[in-house]
Amino acid sequence: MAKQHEITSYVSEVNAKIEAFRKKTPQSVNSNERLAIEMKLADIEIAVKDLMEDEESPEVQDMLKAYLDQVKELTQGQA
Amino acid sequence: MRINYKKINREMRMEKTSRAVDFFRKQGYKFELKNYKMLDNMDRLNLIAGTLERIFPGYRIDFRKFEEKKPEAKQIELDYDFDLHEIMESAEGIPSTEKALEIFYSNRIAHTCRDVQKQMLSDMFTEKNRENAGYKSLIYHFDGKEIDQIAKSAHRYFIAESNMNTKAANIAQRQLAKNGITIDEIEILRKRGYDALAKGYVDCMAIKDEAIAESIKILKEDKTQSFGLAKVKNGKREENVFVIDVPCFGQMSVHIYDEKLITLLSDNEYRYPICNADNVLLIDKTSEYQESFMLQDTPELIESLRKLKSRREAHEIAVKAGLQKDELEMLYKTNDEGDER
Repeated sequence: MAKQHEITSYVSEVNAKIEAFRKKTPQSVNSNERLAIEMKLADIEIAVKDLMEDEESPEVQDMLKAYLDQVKELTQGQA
Repeated sequence: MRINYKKINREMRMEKTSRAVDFFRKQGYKFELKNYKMLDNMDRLNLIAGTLERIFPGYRIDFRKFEEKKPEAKQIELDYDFDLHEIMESAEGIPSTEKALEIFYSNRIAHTCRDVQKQMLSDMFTEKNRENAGYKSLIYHFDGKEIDQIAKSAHRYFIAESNMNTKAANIAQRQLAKNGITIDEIEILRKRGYDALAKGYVDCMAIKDEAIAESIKILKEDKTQSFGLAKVKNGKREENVFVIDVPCFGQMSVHIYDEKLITLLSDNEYRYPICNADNVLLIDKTSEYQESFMLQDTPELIESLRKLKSRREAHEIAVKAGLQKDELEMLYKTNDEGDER
């Protein structure tokens, strides 16, 4: 149950960070760079959804954490 | 001369694998959301139909096998020149039906990719075992469930790699190593196109989720069609299934995992039986038995269906007959007092 809770919270955090990035107007980032980040985030969103299909697998929780870190890195200072 | 059936079967399997790989290597970009979204509904459905015809032409055989389990009069027959494009055309102009077909068949393409991935893995293990014959400790012994898990780990490895997420790729690789899969073997899979299938799978699943979101919007506005979220037990696990009763086509059901979609459906519980979840086709064709009911007018039809012992069968015929939400509700009431059937 605790694992399930952690998985859900990772997914919610990934989604919230991506949403927040999309909603903010671009500041101090050129539009090409922003577009590249948005494309990467869209792919990560799909990869995270894919992991949700098999939340009982041992590696899923850690992989979600790795994707969350990547999202933080991509959106840091730009959202 | 003796016919080597094992060899023929292996060659047929390899042909299926190479057909799917070849398609996704050359044309997989068409299923990337940014490209796919540029297409109108009918172009999407025709792309899906063309892809299935190309990568999974055996669906006709699978459908016939599925139907053959039923008594003859209840079997749905496929025309000898059955064409998926015609099915897509028969949905043209009915937005909820167009979406239902898009959901069902994009899901089918994704599952075909997964089947081919598993086949590719099994073939590689067979080859390795042949090479290592005589060395017990080098022989792979995996059952179906284990192959399924390894297929998913390998799939995640390639997806993480394409996202340039080294940590996630390392985690998947470690999981593969626990099963004895070496980096050389991962490279063999890459050369054979496992990565293209992984991309095809996630893209088609993303298309399916987009189409579900769009269909929920259409169905909520329309209010005449029966649809919703069903909770289905799979062993100890409870799974979420999105269901639409598609008039004249039948019941469409697919698993959903996206929390946002599940929340969107929180007020739409699906209470009717789930029919034909294993079917490979969603089509507007009927059996002789089903047709015999369809000659009746709606009140008469509902009365006849109420008399059937199987709720599942009654529901299936009602949907094939084109009954809508309020008419289906009538089917589940036993009398004027409105008791549940």
